[in-house]
Amino acid sequence: MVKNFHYWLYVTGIFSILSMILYLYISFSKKENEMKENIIFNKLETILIQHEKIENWLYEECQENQNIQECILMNPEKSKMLNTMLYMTINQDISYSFLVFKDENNRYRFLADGASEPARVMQKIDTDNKKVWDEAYSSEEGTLISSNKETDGLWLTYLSPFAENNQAYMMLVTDFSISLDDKIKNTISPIKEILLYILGITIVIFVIGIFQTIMYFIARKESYTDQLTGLNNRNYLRKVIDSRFPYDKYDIAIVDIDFFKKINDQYGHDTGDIVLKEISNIFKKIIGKNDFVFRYGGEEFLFLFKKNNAEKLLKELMYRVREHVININNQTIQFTISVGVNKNLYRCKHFTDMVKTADLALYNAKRSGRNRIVYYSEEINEEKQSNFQTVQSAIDENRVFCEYQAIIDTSSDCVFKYEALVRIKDTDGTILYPNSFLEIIKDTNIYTDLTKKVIDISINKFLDLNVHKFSINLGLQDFNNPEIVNYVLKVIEKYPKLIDLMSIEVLEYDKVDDEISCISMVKLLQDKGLKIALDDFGSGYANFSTILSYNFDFIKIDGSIIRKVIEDDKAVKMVQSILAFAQVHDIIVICEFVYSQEVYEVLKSIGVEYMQGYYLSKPNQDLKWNNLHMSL
Amino acid sequence: MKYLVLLFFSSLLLSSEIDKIESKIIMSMIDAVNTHKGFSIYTNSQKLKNILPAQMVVFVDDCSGADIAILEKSKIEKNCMDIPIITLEYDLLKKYPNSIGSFFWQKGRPNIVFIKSRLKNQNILLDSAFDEFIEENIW
Repeated sequence: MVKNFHYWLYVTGIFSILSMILYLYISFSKKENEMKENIIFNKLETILIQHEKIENWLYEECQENQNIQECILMNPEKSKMLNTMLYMTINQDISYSFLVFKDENNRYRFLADGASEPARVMQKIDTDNKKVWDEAYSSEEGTLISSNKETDGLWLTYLSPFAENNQAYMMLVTDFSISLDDKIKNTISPIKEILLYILGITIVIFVIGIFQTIMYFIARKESYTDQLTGLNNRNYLRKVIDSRFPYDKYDIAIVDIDFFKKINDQYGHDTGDIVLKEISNIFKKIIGKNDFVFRYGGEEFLFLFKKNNAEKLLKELMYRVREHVININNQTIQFTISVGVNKNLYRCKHFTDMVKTADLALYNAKRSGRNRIVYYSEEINEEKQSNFQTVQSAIDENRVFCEYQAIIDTSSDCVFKYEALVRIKDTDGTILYPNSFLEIIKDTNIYTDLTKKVIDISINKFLDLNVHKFSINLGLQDFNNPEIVNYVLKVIEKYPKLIDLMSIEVLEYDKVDDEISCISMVKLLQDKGLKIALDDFGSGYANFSTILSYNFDFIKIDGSIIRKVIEDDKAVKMVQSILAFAQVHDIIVICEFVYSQEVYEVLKSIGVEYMQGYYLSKPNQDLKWNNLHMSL
Repeated sequence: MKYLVLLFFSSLLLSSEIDKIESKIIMSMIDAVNTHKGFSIYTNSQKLKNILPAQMVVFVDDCSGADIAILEKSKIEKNCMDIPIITLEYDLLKKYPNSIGSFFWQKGRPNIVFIKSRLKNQNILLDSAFDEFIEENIW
């Protein structure tokens, strides 16, 4: 605002100076013209006296003749006298003075001439402007023609007709020049020239100023506008949310397009861009005069709604977006949005806190199945914030550690590998297990940081030993997180031994948003040599259809099946089926949740080689396990 | 000093402007009486030789080889008595009986005159645009 003020002040200032100079220039020009008119008037007075003298003389000399032209033409003495009279008027200023008349062919002919070598009487004279001469000849008064403008004077012609009974019979033509007097030459003209220069320079500065102002506003508009959608961008958001922004009068909402990545992958980025543009157009139409909308991230939009506007407008927004259909290449695309809203901004100290709270509500909207509006409440926040804080501080303060549970090869009674299981030691010494924090931090940077931490801890544990194999757990969704995939690729590139030592157990607790990308990432890691296991097979989304999509190296049968093998023959048959299926596809089967000798015996009897469970080994930090061979 | 420089340049400009007018008028007069291609001109005016466009006229050194002569005041050119002449002064119309017209400056104004009887004698027919310049008499 202050910057704008400077620009307007500059423009107004220059404009005022310009107006002032222009006023002065016009005033001096008027004065100069007045002075020139005075000089011309004085000169004309002399000519008019001469005109009167000639007229009187003609009246006296030719009063007996009816035709004055004939009186002169027939009488050489009179003609000579007239020449002499005209000659007397010639001076430094008056160059030519002669009398002409119009013949029957409308040609002007000399009647007398004041030149030292006068033109011949009756000789034709071509005029420089016949029309003006003709008008002057038939008018009652004289006509002044400005024929040429010199550096310090003017060339003028004065046409003064003689008439009798309203009939013109001849015309006195006087060519004269006037010199501008010293006052004009030395005072007004130089001032005018200076003013003209200043005026020119000021106009140039003014034009440059206007141009720069326009360019400034264009550049500012561009820097505050998202090029793709035409909405305000983050730069403008930063400008809006200064300390003077009345947060108490606004509600904040964050809107995210559901499954936008899928649209991009399925239809291409151009289509994704079209979706962003169209949805932005809907936003522009919906928001009120005092509301703001910003493109906050890729497919995220931030709204600042004037108090009490949010609810109604967001409902309208949801409806319009849902109803909107985009047709591209004979395909119709429809999409939905998830919205997180915080209507209590006054409780937040900083704008980042406001965004966080709306983001939290958005997170809940997504977790609840998307295509909905969730309003932020303190209850949501307190638990979540506390969990976030717990995990974040554990990472920062190195209170994250792993316990390792052995998977036993029962044929040799040796450890096949260890599964790394994350734990957090709380500030009071309590051990926190993943089920208490993992779900909450999912889809946040904290989750990514924690995953990296677990990888680092496990590598430190096993790399130097170079004896035991180990596995780390990742969610199938993590394969769509480039940061995690890149981190895994980075560590196996740094420590090639890990390809033999490390494997990844995949937990499929969510439906994967982008399965194609996920499959390709799993394959990429397998191509690098890493073994991938499907954890919790038989529960949730981890089923036969998952096996069809991915080429897993191991499957771990979920504990919910294993625990029933003692009492339920169907469970045993199910395990047997899985074993048969895996054998055909060259997949190693691991049974977890082997909590007792009975379970162990049943599984062993049906040919399960790899087992994991409390009966065999409890998770611990020291790679301890129950050597059955020794204990039996 | 400033005024001297300005005066010098303005007079140069002025004279160049006058030359242009003069050249145009003379060329239109030549065109008016010109009846065939390869029309050759004799002139005793050095100025005219300089200002007329060389690519449009053929100058010859003597009237005997010329189709038309354009003469300014000097001693009478007797060789030129058989070809049409345009004079550069009104008075010369009387001195050259075979002169058909004249171009001259009168009171600071360019003037053109063609003499009707002489055009007729030389079988020269002018375009009607020149009617206003055709005179019966030489005064």
